[in-house]
Amino acid sequence: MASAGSGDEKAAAAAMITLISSDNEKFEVTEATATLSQTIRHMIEDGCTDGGVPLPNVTSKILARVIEYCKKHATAAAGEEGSSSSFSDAAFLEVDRAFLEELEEFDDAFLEVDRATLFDLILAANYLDIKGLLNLTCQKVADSVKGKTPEQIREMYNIVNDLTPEEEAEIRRETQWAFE
Amino acid sequence: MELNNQQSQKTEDEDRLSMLPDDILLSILTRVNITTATRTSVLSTRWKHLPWLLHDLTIDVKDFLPTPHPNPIEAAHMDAAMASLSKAIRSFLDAVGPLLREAINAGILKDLDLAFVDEKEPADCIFKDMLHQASLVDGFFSAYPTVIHCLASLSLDNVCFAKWDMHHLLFDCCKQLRCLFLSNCDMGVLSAWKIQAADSHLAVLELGACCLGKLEVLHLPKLEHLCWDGWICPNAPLSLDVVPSLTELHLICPANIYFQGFKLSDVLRNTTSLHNLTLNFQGEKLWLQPEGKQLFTVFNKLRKLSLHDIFVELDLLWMIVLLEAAPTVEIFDVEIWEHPCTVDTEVRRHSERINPSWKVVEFATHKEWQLRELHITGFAPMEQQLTFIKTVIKRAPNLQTLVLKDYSFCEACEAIGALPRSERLPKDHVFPKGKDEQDLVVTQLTGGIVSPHPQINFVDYVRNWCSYSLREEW
Repeated sequence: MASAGSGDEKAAAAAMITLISSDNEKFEVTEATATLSQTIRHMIEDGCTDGGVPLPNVTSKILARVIEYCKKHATAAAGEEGSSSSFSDAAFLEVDRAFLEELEEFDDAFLEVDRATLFDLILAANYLDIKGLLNLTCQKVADSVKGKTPEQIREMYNIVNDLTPEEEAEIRRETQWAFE
Repeated sequence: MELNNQQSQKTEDEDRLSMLPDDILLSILTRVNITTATRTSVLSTRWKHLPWLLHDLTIDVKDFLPTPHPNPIEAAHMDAAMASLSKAIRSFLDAVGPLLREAINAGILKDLDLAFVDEKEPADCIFKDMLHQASLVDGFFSAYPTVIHCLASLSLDNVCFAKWDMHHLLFDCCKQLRCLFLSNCDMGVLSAWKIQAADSHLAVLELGACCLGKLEVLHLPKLEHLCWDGWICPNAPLSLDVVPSLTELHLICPANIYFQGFKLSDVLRNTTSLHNLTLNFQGEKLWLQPEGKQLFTVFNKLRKLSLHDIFVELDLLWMIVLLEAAPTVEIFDVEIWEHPCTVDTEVRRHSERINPSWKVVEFATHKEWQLRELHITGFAPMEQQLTFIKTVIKRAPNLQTLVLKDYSFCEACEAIGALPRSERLPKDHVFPKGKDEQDLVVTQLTGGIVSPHPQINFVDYVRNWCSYSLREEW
């Protein structure tokens, strides 16, 4: 798991970056994969990635998942650039569409995680500034609260209601339209 | 994650959600509808203020309708939903008044965008429906005049203003209104709408499928962008008087059999700063009457000219007249139209697509063209396209880039199962595939011309499709 980038033959020749998790595990990834993170992209641009990039906020378990996401989506981005102007037949189009569908399936499967991991992924995506991953994970949380009552949401996420009954009644009165 | 060392052990019953930073929670709340977002304010003190901090507030009447939405929506449901919508807006404007005013003052809530959405298709709307919709909108504004003051953007669907002084409301009362989007709105079929509003800040006006007899803009000092997609009046749909800020004009319409066409120079006579002009014919005959040097003055600041959805079999040389009249144009964008999806499925309400009768030879100037870029979407090595492009290359000494694109993806064509163009059209109607065919086109275009010639880029269907699908996806 530690050498997450090594399986990719095409990447062998590409520039590699070493990412170091909070528990000191090293992950070698291609620059194309790493730069899905704006945070790391800026570090590369500033030339401060020699000797590895320490990520003290991200554990190896979460970093491995984040890299898995970035690798898949970096391939997608490369595929888009790579669809050169010399192909224009329907067969190629089918392949392309199939790939987008596959990406969607990947995302769905990627989100099949327990709640603690989901929150870790959100914080990691936020820290590493990976827009696609942040959108994906936030959407997952949003979908889980859609149409739910406050009581259901509290129970789902262990939220302790520290409002006084008077305060809560007041807010409900002011926003009665949202509860109709 | 070890941000919270002391708590990392008891992950099971931790409230990880409330521990997320504000901007992430707000990002989550913008992904649910306004009622769900608002209900979260009673979760705990952490959440109490969050919904009121949303940067991007969308209050949609659909959120107040029973789900799944019955189709058609019953009037009683719509009335109840509108009542709830009114209360929702009042919450945001009045009940949380101090907080909201603070937000407005602090620039957090910069403006309020309001949309009165009606799900009905314009074709299904009868006059009575449109009047009813007008009374709802009117009632809303009378009941909540505070809304008017910070209203920056307003969208209205299927509203008939025949019995209602829209002009007073939009231009005298909504002093902050900058954007107005009207879809299937009119003043009673084919009545004219005159806008005379010297104090209005309106910058963007977009009309979609509005059956106005004519839109007469007498005075809109801040209007920058005007778009009208679909009119039915046979003559000029538009007149412009005092519009000193107008820089962008987009006119989109398929000509029907009643269209008599109009002179562009008549419509644009009083514009002084038009930079960007788009004319879209949706594959039908031109609704412009031929003219020539009259266009000089109205085009004198034009930098981008787009002629879209030109029927594939039409001759293209008439466009040279427009370019001759607009030597300042730097980008010229043409889109060719070829769609089995409308040709075969619909009974044609349109007249024959006759070739434009513009006199190219009679009008040639000796002004140097500023043209830098020529874009052709729907390119195929057909005689009229090659002739047109060669003429432009010859005439434009500053032309640097020529972009030849295949057709864009069309969902409707795909839905009717149309074969790919390469299988149903003759070879010269199809985008050149592969290096050999593309090299041949380059030779055909530049053969007779001494280099340097402009750089020629080919963008094929897959690329066009990719950018389409990626846009849909993300």
